[in-house]
Amino acid sequence: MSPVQSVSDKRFFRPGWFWAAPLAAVAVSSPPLSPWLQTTMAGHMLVQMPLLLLLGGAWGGRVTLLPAAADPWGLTGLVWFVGTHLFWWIPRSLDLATLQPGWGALMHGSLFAAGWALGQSWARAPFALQGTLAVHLVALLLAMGVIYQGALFVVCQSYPLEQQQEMGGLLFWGAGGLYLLLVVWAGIKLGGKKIG
Amino acid sequence: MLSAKSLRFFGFAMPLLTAGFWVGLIGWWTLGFTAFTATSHTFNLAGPLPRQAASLALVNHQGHFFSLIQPNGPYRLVYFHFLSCRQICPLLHSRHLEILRSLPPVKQANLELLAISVDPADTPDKLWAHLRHLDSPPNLVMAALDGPQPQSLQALGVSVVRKADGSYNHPAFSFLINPQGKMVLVVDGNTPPAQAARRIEKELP
Repeated sequence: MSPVQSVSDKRFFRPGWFWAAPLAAVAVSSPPLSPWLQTTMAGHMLVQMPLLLLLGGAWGGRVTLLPAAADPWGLTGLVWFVGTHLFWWIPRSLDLATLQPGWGALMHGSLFAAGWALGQSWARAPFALQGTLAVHLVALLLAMGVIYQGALFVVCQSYPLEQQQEMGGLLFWGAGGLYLLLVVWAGIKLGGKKIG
Repeated sequence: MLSAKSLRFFGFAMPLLTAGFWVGLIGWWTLGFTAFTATSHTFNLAGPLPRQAASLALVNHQGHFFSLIQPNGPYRLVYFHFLSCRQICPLLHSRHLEILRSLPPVKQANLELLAISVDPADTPDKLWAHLRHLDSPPNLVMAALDGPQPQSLQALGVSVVRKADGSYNHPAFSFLINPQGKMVLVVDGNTPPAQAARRIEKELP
């Protein structure tokens, strides 16, 4: 099986993204865009990081590594995505990525790879697994929002306290919005079907 | 080509191995899930309390050079700041003065309050000028680092980061160091001053 192929997850097949996604990821990770995005905590965590994940996700439908038979539910890719995401949300990791260019490059590359893993695993995953992952993400954002907004000390050393609190507010309300979207998505997906 | 059985095994083992990898990596990275921030990581890495404090070469507001660890020196309550800080540091100064005033006079006399600036731009002259503005007791000493000492700070358990805007992030902790050079107590910046004073009082002779 060739490593470059169209996978069975046709919904994620985007031929134009084969070159566009990695090139856009390099642009987002390099000057002048990257330092500009990283001047604020929100720009770093709510724009640059999700953008790299999305670009990796767009690429994920085009280039596959694990054949569907070896990863039928896309679990490996989903676990890889969760692990990478959690690692870079650790304040110490984020500080290093902001302050040291080598760590920054590692973060950008690994987030693109995590998006790629998610892109090729999402459509393979059953609805219950997709829902679990989505709820996990909303819960993580909500918890981080509460921590950042409520902490009276600097959690991430690279950013001042006021940016941290602003970020907390955005995460809190953003997670609330995502939760509503999640409910709507689940409603559409189930189409009024009874579960169980 | 792998057989269907091997592929099924692969599909079962790979997610487990991947999860194991991330749990192991994050566990190691956070010192066993105990230190998630740069501040807590540096502090935990320095070791449990009480511990021998790393020495720092300092210069005080009068221009005298001295070391953080001095044999038979006073008990020192150390905190970090920088003069251009307009947010947390002024609160830290008032907080420490309040802690000092909350102690009984006998205990106050046995304690030196040592405010160490992490900014190389804070010269003894500037520290002296700043000290005159504060309603400070005689046992408050302002000091600056005598040159960059990142390894000593790290060994002390203090993480200092210079941000892109030229300001600094440093812990808002109070470190109590005894005359034998041991760090015997660390109080975090969120502890109310009266409560911090009670904890410090227990450690003082």
